Amino acid sequence: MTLSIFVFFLLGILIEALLLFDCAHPINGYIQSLHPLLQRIFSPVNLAASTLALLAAGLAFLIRLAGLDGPSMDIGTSLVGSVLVVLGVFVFFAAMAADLFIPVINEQSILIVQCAILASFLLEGNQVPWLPLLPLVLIPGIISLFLLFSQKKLPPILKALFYLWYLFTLMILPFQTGQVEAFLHATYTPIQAAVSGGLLLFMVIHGLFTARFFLMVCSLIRPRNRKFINRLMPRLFTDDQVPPKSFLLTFAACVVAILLNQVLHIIPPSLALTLCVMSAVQILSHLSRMKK
Amino acid sequence: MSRRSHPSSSPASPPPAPQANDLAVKRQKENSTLDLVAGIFSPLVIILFVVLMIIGLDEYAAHYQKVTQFEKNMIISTGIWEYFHNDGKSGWVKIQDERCLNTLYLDTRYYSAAALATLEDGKEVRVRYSVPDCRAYLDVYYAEFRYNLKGLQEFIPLFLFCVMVLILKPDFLYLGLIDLSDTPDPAEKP
Repeated sequence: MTLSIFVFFLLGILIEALLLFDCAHPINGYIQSLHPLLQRIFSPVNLAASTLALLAAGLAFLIRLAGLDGPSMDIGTSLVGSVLVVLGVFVFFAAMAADLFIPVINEQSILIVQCAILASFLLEGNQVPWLPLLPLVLIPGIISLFLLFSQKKLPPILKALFYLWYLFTLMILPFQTGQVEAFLHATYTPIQAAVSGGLLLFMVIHGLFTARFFLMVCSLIRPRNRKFINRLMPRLFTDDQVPPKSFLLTFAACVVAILLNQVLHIIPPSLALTLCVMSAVQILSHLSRMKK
Repeated sequence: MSRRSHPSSSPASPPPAPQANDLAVKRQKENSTLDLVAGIFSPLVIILFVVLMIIGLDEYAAHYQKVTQFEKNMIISTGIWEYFHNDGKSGWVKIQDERCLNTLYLDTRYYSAAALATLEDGKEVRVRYSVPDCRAYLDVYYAEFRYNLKGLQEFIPLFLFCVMVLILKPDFLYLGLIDLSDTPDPAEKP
């Protein structure tokens, strides 16, 4: 990874941080005079992300112009190492001791994650051989389909167990798609670097939160602790579903994006699949919030 | 003759048996001490749990990488089992391959007792190996090496300790997510 590519990698991390923060704590400040659709397009987060992208492109251009883009860098390089350490500490506390970046989900988000893993399983086989991937994915998939159609609401403790399952399957995804290996060995183009940066942040935050949430679920053995989860679950797992039309549109958009990428080879297919899952979870979080 | 009544022995509210009362107070004291100790340790335990998880994942990733690398250059062949090394954790296989000086190193820690029982000095054994690594893996029991997660088993007691402490005092886990004051939530059922 060269310095200019590292700039794009950081850009991906920053944009993803913005998007996740917007999912967890909606940033207001829409331009009221515009059409609602245009308001969404020119939302504060999108404007901030575009500004960041322009700045990154400018910075990368200047780096190349100044001839600083020479040697390849990795995590052992002092600049990369120190930036990643600072980011790591921030992300650790953001995921373990705060509520900054965890998007609210619903049954539809769970269904999309399970579909993505299932698609990857059918296309490439089980890449995590020590895990029984099929039952692990099919059970929550079927439960979320049942909940979607029956409109039943789960009690908080069952919701917590279901949410934990969702987090575990989300963590399997980068192993199944081979993304973990790609993070270690990839030589990136600017787009790949930005996408990988965003994905890395999404996965690290969810990974740390999985550990935290696993401990929360373990603590439910003691009845005295259950009052906490009753208060927490509405923040993480909403019963509000996105209208079927919007859900199907999101699903179809993901499928089209994956197929288009297959034809145009913009980013590696495994990266595209993981990116679509990440985007779908965030879009559905936005849409379910808009419904309120 | 009027009977003198003692103030503490009113018939309406008989006093609790002193022994049971003491026991309850003692138990409450013990619980609060345990809660206090767990409360002090719980932030550290959360960090410890995450660190262990990261180390575990790193070990798995390293093993996965080793397996992938090995399988790219893997050769399957038959050799002669020589003997177990004195440390009991390894052994040698004689094979016809000059690149490995006709000897392969076999790490026995990956295998179960049943697999090791099949190895007898001077007997033929089917192995998989790569060059220039020259490490052998038993062909029949290759899955035991490939899906080996024995390194992670060492962490289980520590994981359990973390979980135990956080069952006692999980408050820190909810830091920043919910209001931890004891006032009941309006949406919560009484």
